[in-house]
Amino acid sequence: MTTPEDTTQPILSLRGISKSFPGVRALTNIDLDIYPAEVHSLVGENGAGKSTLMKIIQGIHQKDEGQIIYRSEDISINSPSEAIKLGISMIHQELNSIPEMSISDNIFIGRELSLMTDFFFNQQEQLRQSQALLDKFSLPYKATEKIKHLSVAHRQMIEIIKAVFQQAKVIIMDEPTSSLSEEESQQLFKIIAELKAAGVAIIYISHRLEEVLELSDRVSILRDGEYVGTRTAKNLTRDELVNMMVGRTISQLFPKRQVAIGEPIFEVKNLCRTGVFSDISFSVRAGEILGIAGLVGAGRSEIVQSIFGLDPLTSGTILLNGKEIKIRHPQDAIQHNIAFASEDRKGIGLVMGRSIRENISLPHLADFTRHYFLDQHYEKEETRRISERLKVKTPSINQKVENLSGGNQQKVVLSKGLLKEPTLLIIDEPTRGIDIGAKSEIHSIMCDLAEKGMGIIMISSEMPEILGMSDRIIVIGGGRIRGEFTNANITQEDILHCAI
Amino acid sequence: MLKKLLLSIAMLVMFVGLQVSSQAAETIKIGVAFKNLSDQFVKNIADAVEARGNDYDNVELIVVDARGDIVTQLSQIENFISQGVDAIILNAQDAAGLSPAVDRAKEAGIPVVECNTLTTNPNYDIYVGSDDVEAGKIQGKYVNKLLPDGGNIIILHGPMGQSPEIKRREGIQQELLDKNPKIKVLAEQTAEWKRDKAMSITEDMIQAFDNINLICAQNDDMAMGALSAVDAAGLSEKIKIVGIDAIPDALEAVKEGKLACTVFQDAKGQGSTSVDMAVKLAKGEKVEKNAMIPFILVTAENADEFMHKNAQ
Amino acid sequence: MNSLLKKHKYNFLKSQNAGLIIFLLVLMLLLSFLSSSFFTANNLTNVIRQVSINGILALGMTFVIITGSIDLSVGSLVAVSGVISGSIIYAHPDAVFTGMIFGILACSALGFINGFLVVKFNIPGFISTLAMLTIARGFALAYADGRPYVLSSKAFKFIGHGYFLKIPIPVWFLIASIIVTGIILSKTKFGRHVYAVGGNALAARASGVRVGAVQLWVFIISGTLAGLSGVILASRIGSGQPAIGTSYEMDAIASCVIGGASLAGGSGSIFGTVMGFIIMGIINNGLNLMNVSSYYQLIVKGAIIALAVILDQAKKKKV
Repeated sequence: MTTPEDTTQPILSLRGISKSFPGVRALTNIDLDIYPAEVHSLVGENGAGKSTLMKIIQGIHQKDEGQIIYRSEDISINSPSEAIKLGISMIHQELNSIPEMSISDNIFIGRELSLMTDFFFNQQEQLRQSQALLDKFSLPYKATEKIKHLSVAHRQMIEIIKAVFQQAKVIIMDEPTSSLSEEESQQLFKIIAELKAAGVAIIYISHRLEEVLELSDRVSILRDGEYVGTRTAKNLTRDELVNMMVGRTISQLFPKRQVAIGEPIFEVKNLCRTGVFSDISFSVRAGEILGIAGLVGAGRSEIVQSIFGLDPLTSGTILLNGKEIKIRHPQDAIQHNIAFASEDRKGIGLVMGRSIRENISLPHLADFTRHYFLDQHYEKEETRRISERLKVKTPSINQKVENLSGGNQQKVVLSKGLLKEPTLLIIDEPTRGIDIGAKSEIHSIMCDLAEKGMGIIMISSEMPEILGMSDRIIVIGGGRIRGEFTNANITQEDILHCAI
Repeated sequence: MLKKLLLSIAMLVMFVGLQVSSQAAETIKIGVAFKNLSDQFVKNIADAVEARGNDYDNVELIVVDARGDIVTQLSQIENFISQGVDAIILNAQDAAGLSPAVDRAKEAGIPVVECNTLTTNPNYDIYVGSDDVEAGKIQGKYVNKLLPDGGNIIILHGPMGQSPEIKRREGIQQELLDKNPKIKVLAEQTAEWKRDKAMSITEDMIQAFDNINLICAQNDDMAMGALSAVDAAGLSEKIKIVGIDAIPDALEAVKEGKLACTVFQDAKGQGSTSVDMAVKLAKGEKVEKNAMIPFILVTAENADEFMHKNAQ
Repeated sequence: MNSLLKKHKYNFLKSQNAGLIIFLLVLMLLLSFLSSSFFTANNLTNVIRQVSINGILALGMTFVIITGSIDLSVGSLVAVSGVISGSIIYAHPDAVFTGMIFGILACSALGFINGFLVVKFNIPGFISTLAMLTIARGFALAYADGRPYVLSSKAFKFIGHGYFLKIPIPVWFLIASIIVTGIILSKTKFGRHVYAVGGNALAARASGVRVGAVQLWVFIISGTLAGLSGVILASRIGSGQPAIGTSYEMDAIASCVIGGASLAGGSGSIFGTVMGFIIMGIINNGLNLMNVSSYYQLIVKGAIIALAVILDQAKKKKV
């Protein structure tokens, strides 16, 4: 914080920024002006392009088109370390601090003060300077304390101090309050006010709209990778903000067919996992697609993973066809004819280094075993049948799944679940990261299954998908059910209001 | 809490330990450092050392095993010095590597008995052992007698660079190869004193050469390994095998005529003499610089005599 | 017809093990030129018999490595099985079968402990088997009081030195082990689970695989085969030796790695491992036949291991 910046000129301007990833246009022609000593919030739905935009400013991604103007100079940022040198720092959602090292060492990491030569570092001076910073922000710690002894909130503040120490002119904060208590949040806001007073520009990303309106000077809205506009926070209401975020009518991309809905086949009562979710009760009927909506991190995936036996449940009952069942391991769920297609294809869904055939048959090997040995002929036939039905594009079912495209991998995950015609299919983010064509194929497969009387639970962060595909929608927020809607007359606004 | 408890227990144990050691001030404490107690011959020496130690009323032995590691043995000697032993019996793992340990013990005024293996340091008080060149010579002489008109031999070495490996090879050179130019060495390989390694090398050699007359193994374990291979190939009539050490099953094989000879190295003699010398030195008595325990040739005729000498 | 042939050839070159087969053939050709005694029926029998000890160890190791773990204790287990079966056969020269069974079962039990530590306490296999490496060695030395059990039992000798249909008995054990492990790994549910656990343990769990049980069993298999190997070795050298088998784990691991197993888990095969230990055995044998000095043997052996793996990697990348 050397010379005070001229607060009438933007410190950072983006002009016409565009960015594409294979198959997806992430950002189109974004303009943004950030002034010194301002808190500038960035809002938008999941996938609106906020993260991508910030990654471009950070040098993690490179822009395809457009200009970045920083302190009146047209620059390019090629790496996070370049960004930091320029004075642009980001406080990450997942914190980057090294738990086993002291506060002081964490603040100075990578730019240690040298003692005589670069080989030695001046520990005394580092401790003195870190202590001064800790005192300035009234954090009650010694600079020698190890980071692992600090709370998440305080670790985050250390990250901010580190940014200040690195002479940051622009600090980006991505959902900084998501894991903080009310009191800790207030402490953070105080620090933000101090930074602002010192002339630092803050780009603030949050889903908590009240917080955004209270804290910001200005708010910019992104939607579907496009810039919607910038408003002064003072003159803005929450409803206006939500309208700008959603803004569009749903395109009828979804081949949803109305099918006869039968009796409830699956029911959960008062499911609870301590610290993650609580009091979750819902049911699914035969032929019904139950949509689960909510923000990322609301606890949706955690709920279905616990139902499937991947994570433990603290309490609650699960009923299948009216009878109580116990699921302690995914094996139990599979034996009860429940299938699960995870959102995390690489982590949970597939063994990437093995073939399509082996992946599809893995949960069903007991069915292919005759007298202790695998009937590989039968296995081949069955896995080929299902992969052809789901139109997995591959020269051979012996192809390793890591060689397939994302959409085809997703179809393999589905094939795996559908090989045995499950009673209940749980599908988490059925079409994340796959192209439009594969998307509508998967949607049409889901409709086929519902038509056959299968119950489907679908988690999705894509509003159009939730609204277009579900017969009924429950909204999860903070690990609880916030509301339930039947499809007739609801809008994205309703869901968003309920989720936030 | 648990940490503190453990710490105080450890302190208590140390304290009691100190008490005990100070009470035993009149007894003679001898630190005995062996190179590797997994080696059968060394184990035999160790047994003799312990047996002899028990014969004295006032001798306390502290026996440690370096498990074939020079650095371990160095620190064991340092421990002996700080424990304040009255004498050290050193069965050195390495001739050069352990010579600084001898200096350190001498600086601390502790007499050193080198047992079975010699370091390169001349400052030791006494060497109790046998001259490995002698073993090689005895072996060489006998082979010369077995093959007076010459023949083809294979030599199985110990780990290259160990003092017995070098010296036994020297003895063979002097008494066999230099004296009988008609002896041809087909191949020399190290089997690292090991039975399984000697077996597979011999198996390969049998494939490589069809004219082997004799296998000269630098110890009995390797001789027994070679014997397994020769037996299995049905060549025991054609190929003679000689070894060194006189371990029990080798003696048995010599008696049955399967091994032509072995060379008796007196483990018991080396062990008990070492203890005797250490006691003398601890009491301040003067001793000779060397106490050589002779090697003896063992053939089918005299195998019975040795049968129980190196057994447990 | 022509196109069919072409297609066939293409598939062979593309198959995962083509590189290994070619490497082995080149190596054999080279050795045949360098030593006239190499390519003889006698010597090849000799090589196969020599590789049986390491081979059986490597087969067990293959299971552990495919699950993404490692078993460092097999060398010590070889000694444990040797002294336990040795002590029984020493006391009762006719109780060969009983002795062998107890030797092998003892190692199965130690393998179980390896796996139990991994599954129950979440200790990496590298650590639990490193602990077992020294514990089992200490146990073998203590059990035998540092001395070998010298065995003169004729019946027991037959295990290591006998022949059946002109093929050495240890080779029959090796062949039986190859067939059994090969079938388990490629033709059973358990085999698939082994690959799935190594490829992605979480995905395996989500597919209903009992990951812990699979991990436990691979260590039991590895321990059991180490036990079998130890019994055969004891018979071959006519004694149960407590100090035997040091660093055998390294040869077993090298065999698996030459055979295309990845230490990261998820890949590897019995066929590859068989190629791996045959290559290792042939290198040892060839160097001895040519009477290469032991110093240079070490260098050549290491270089060939590295070369085999480099070729394998290069081929994998191309496919």
